[in-house]
Amino acid sequence: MTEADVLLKLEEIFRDLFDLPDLQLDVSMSADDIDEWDSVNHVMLVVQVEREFKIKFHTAEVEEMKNVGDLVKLVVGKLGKSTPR
Amino acid sequence: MLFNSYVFIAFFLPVALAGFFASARYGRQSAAAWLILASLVFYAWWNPAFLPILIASILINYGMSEVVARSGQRPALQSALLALAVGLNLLALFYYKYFFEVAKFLTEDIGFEVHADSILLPLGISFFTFTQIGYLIDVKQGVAKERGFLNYVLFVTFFPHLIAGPILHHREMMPQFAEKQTYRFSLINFSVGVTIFAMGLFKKAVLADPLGGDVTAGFDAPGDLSFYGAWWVAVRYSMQLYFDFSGYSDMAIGLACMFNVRFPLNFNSPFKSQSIIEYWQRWHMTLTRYLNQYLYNPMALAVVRWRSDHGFGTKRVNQKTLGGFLSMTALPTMLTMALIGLWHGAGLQFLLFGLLHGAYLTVNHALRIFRGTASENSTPWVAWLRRILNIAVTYIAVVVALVLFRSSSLDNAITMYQSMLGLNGFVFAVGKADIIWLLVLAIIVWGCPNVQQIMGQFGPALTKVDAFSKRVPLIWKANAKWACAVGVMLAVSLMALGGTSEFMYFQF
Repeated sequence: MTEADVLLKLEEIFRDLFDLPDLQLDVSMSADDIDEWDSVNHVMLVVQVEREFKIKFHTAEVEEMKNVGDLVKLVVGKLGKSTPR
Repeated sequence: MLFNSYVFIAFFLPVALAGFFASARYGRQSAAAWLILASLVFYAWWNPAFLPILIASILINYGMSEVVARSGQRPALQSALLALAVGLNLLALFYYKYFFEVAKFLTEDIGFEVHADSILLPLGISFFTFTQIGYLIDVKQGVAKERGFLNYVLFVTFFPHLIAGPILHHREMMPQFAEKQTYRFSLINFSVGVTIFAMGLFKKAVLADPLGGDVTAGFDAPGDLSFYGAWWVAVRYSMQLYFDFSGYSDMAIGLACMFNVRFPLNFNSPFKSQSIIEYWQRWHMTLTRYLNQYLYNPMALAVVRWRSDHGFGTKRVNQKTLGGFLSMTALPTMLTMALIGLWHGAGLQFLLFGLLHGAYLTVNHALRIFRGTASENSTPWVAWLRRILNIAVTYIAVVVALVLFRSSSLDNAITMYQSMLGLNGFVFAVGKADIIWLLVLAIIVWGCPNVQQIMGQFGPALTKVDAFSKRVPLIWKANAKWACAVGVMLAVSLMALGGTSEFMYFQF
């Protein structure tokens, strides 16, 4: 999966999870840009992403995922490791 | 050794700095070794008996971390080793910090006799224990990339943070110690560091310390205070703690700057917060970050994963149900805050302090989730008024909770609350000069940019802060005017040092 594919899928998750149907997600966004994205909702986001991509995050990684760019990179990295093509 | 003592400022710091950059000529390793040695001297100055404890803690933790790192092929063994290592740390922390109090409680209140002599708390033990537990967990999860011994010891002992934080993360520190630039003297970093250090010293010696007398007297005999007297003491205490801890944090950041090292921010004008959630993002920020990372997140993740596996919703709409809110938000918040309370010390008052803040946070989250955020389209005047109101309510909530934090026992705290409710009369006896002084402090707290905003262009900390209003032209520049201002601040602070006093966070 490329970064663009992951971003597209993340956008769906964000819209659904935060109840923001018109949200346009891009890699420069962070938790500061989306009001609903606070530390409580962040945990829900992490689990949603885990289930969607069938991956698992380390506790230490969770704090690093508070901006979209890093989140995309992390997911792509994990997918690359779990399904070598 | 205290940052605010003559021996530190006039002797230790110049020698440590000169030795560091001089030994760097013979390679990074010798400079790192020098800095470690200096830090150990700094630590031992207080009470040499504590030095072996620090050294043992570092050696055991580093050894365990390497064993953990090398057992990656056998996950079960690795987890067991990690649990053992973390357990040892917590055991040591428990012994030094809580054993005596718990034994006393069991003997006196329960009637179950446990013999214990009073134990001196090794300085900074909660801080260096926490830092190292974080490192162990990260090594196990494979995210600690830099694992050199010398860098590790330097990261743990580096004296600007050793005794009272900020609570550092190896990922932001170890690369800095591996960087060549760190070992070359930089005039601009030095100037920025000295300036921030001077501002911190000023906060501590001139603003915080003089508030202490009345506060101690008040909390020693809370029953003698009238309604006004009790609130006066409580507010003064909040200011004392604020300037003390903020001053300490500035000094730590300034000292690190002199060595070309950047610390994460620990303090970002917390009393300007408009909610308790925001308050904890701005007060003792590195503790909040640490507990978020290693306590709150794992707990909340476990709950949300469990809900997801068992067919319960894990979305924003589900958060609005009672079960969802209690399990996904309230429970992890209350548990984390209870532990934050206990981290500060053994004693029911500390536990209640944590639980009270936990309750504040839970209410704060509930309001946000169930009521939503205030409408954006109100007039500027109404928005301004709402902001002031939010700040005031948050501040008062903080002052009320701090009574528990400062009281020597739960009984004393309760008496203080009774006085604050007016049960001990309403006599007003506060001097004019005291009121004016408090107003000056209030202007500094709520009306001025903070040190990070003044120094912002030099990025003196790893964390960025929002710029202050452009209408207040208080931006540091390397010029004569600022040099004079800093010189005056330093001189006044040094004269005020007389009876050197400890930083309030040293006891944790």
